[in-house]
Amino acid sequence: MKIEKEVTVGTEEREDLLLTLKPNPEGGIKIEITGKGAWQFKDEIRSAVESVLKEMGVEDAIVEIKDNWAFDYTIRARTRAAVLAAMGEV
Amino acid sequence: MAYKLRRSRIYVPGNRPRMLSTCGLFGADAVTIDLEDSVAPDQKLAARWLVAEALKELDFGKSEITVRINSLSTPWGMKDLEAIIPTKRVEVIYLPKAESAEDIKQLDSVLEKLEKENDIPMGQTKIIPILESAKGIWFAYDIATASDRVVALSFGGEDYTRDIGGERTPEGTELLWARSQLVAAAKAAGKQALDTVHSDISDLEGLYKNAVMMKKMGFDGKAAIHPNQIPVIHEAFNPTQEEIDYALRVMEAIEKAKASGSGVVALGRKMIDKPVAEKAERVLMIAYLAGMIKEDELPESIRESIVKEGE
Repeated sequence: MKIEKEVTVGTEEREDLLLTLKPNPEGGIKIEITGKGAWQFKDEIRSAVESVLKEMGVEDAIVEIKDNWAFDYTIRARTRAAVLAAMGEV
Repeated sequence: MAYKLRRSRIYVPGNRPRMLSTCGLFGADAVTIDLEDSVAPDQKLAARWLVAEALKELDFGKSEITVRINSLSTPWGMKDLEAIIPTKRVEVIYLPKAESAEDIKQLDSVLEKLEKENDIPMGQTKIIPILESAKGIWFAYDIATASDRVVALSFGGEDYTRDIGGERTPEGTELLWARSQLVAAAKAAGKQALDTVHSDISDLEGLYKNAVMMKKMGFDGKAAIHPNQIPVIHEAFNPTQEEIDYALRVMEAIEKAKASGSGVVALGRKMIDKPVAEKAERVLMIAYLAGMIKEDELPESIRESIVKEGE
């Protein structure tokens, strides 16, 4: 599945993250991680995002994350919500 | 006598990860994760999945896990249920703006379907309707008896006041009839009655006075919107030492009368009738569940029912 619409979910509050999902014209998955927890948990964040994208069949997208020490469940939830929002769910 | 302690429940906005991860530490009898009023329409989707993932992952301590979904007449209510019920963690659904038996039957049949699909024992998910309109209060008994899943009726004072065209006052006169009606309907149906929130979080003294009055009116508990309100609500709804002592004397008199084969139970010069005995049992059960008395201090009849419930 291709992401064709840009959406942002989450917040910059502590234990949350701001996640923007965008179309990737070059194809493939590109994940950019910044924010407070990035220096320590970049790999864990990336892996949580990738697993949800894979489960949901997303093959082309850019994901930009600004993390503020989000737990794993929050990363998964925000990723899932972004994909569903891009698909037009309310 | 089965009794579930529902003195307090704390509302937690469904789209705030930090509050979700800490709310189990507050010691409330229940957490009510909110997908309704505290979540803006454009955040409903994000909140729904945050709550679903949180339910799979987080520990909510000893608190009963309850979720206030959006009304089933909105575009979100059904989706909320489809996301959260499969986690198998939801004990109670709070249904806002309940106005008729039909509203409850509709929710009941959705829960039945989702329980079947997700290998959840039939009827495990309970319902607490929130009555917050003139119509809801008017049909309180029909709502309370619409499904075996309904375990309590809950009151929403702010919306009710708006609906009747009234005005909130410190004394709460505008809520008096609605509260009385809700309690009578709930109790007639054999369910609990739960009161609305005390919105001024800085006024703990006012909260305590109000909660004591609600206990006297027959309510079993009250909602909290701030952790500081929880111990105050517990103190108000816990039995007093005097009530516990009296209940123990009542139960002792009953057991003595039973042992001597006497059909008439008296405590001093007062006759003990069924409502007095039932109240004594309820007081002791709450005192036990609230940790105010130990199991070996309970009369045998109540100890037996605790064992049965635990089985």
